[in-house]
Amino acid sequence: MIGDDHPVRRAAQRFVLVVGAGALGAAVCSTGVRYAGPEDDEALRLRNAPTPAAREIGPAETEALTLLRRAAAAQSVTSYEGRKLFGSWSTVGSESVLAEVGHEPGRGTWLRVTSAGARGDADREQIADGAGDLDEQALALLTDQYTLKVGERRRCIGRPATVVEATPIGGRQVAGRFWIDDDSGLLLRRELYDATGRTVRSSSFLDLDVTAPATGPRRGLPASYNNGVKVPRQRSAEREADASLLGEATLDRMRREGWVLPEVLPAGMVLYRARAVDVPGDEKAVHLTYSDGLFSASLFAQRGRLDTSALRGFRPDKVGNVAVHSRNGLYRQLVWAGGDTVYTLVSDAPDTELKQVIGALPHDTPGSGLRARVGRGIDRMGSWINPFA
Amino acid sequence: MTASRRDPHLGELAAALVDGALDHNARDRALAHVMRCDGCRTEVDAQRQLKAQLARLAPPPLSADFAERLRALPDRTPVQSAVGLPSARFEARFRTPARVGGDTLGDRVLNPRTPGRAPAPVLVRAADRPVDRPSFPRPAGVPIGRGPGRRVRSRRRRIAATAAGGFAAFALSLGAVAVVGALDEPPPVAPQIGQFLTEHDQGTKGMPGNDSEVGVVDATSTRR
Repeated sequence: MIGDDHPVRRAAQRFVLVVGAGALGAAVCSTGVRYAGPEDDEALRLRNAPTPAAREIGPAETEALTLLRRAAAAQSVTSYEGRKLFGSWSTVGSESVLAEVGHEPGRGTWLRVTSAGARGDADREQIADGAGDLDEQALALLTDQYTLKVGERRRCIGRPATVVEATPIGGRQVAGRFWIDDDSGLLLRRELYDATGRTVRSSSFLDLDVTAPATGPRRGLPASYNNGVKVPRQRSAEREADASLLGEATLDRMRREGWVLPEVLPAGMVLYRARAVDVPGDEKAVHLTYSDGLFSASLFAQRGRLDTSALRGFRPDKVGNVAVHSRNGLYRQLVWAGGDTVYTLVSDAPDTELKQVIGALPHDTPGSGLRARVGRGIDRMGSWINPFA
Repeated sequence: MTASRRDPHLGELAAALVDGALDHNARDRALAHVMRCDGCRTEVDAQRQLKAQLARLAPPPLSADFAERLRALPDRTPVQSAVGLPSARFEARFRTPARVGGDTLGDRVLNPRTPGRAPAPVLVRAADRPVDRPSFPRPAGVPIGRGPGRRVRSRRRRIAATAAGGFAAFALSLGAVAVVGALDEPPPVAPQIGQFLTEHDQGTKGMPGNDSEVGVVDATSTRR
């Protein structure tokens, strides 16, 4: 009989306690090393607004929509040169850039920054010509979340212009205004506002020289427009031809592999386009474009750990409770890590909306570098003993 | 002590008596003999005088060489090293009270055993016992070193050892999984901000609120 004080019994008790402590520690690690944020896409889906469905629009909105489409079409058929001022305002500061711009149909747009700080001999940046029409899905998003209205006619840089306003459905504060040149149909000024009415983004011509005006009726509808009664959701021919686009099946497969690729984000941001982007290295980046029809956000996801040494012009910041690296340009640029993925967000949305968006995406808690490493170690060691892993 | 029995003389124990090197039992017996034996009393007195004279002498100067050699000696004496006992325990042997009727050196000299006869009992008063540690009441029947206090201390020691072992096991486990996790550490990623800005413009082409030049302007500023 082994008594209470028997060395063998004491050694056995000690062994059980020691192993128990180790197992308890491992269990704590395995449950505590996960990154903060949503655990899967389903959480995001449930939390956010439903996928927008096209709604019926009346004649007043149809006219506004027609003007917007005319502006998009004029961009591709009108030659012009001018100076343009870009501005952005946020809680962390403001940015304004002056640039010379010019456009030739079929050859695209050129641009040269002339703001203070830019090199005098700076090369022109070339921008490829667009399709010249508004995307049908983007219009569906816009009309589903905003009401459109043709405002009063005003003069802008000495030219007669018609103002189109976009107001959130159920809201009273205008979220966006567009000044459309009556003569050329070009967009002369564009302003976006936050929920309090403060301007957050603007781009406006300071002067404009239309060298080859567009031909055709001033307010004629593009042939692709179906009279605006009900805007269908369909992909443009350009998007269908893009081999880098990621379809629903590919996105679903990637989600099963652990990628967090939400269909919907807060602030009414709906996944609008998904692409695989070539970047230096072995793996491609996933580029998800979200929009509510007016504001937009691009989320880039890359597998790896964040190397902040290459981030020029960024500074450590906090958006809500999330530690990020931010740069306040014309677009808000935010970079952060969530698990084994690095996220980069580029957006023109107001700070309040961005705060909601980032809070809903995966993000590491402070000091989780070691914990993430421990988590990977537990996962790997668990796979050794799990025959189904 | 019987009258018919004659105590042996102190002999070499006289110096030990003067030096206080005898345990209390031997000392009492030696003192009792000195009271009765003139020769030994003279011997003891001579030893005391010699010791007093030596004490009055100035200590001899310590040569630097000797001091160096003393410092070079190991902490343990050869006896300690040979026996392999901790020094504290080694010293405790000298402090252990002599057993009544025991066979210490003094006992063997002062109370020699006769064949077939048990050693003569010596009564020692409690006040004469050397007091070098506090005495705690020990329940009857409980052997030395097995009391409830020792049991509590032992249990605490076991708990502390187990906790330390558990902590060490946890730290080792944590270190092991961290090392394994480092093997799976993903590659560093430096986001291509300039490229992403233009990609954003490309991705938002055809949107009513989009201005396809903004991203290019931003990308230009990232290169400045």
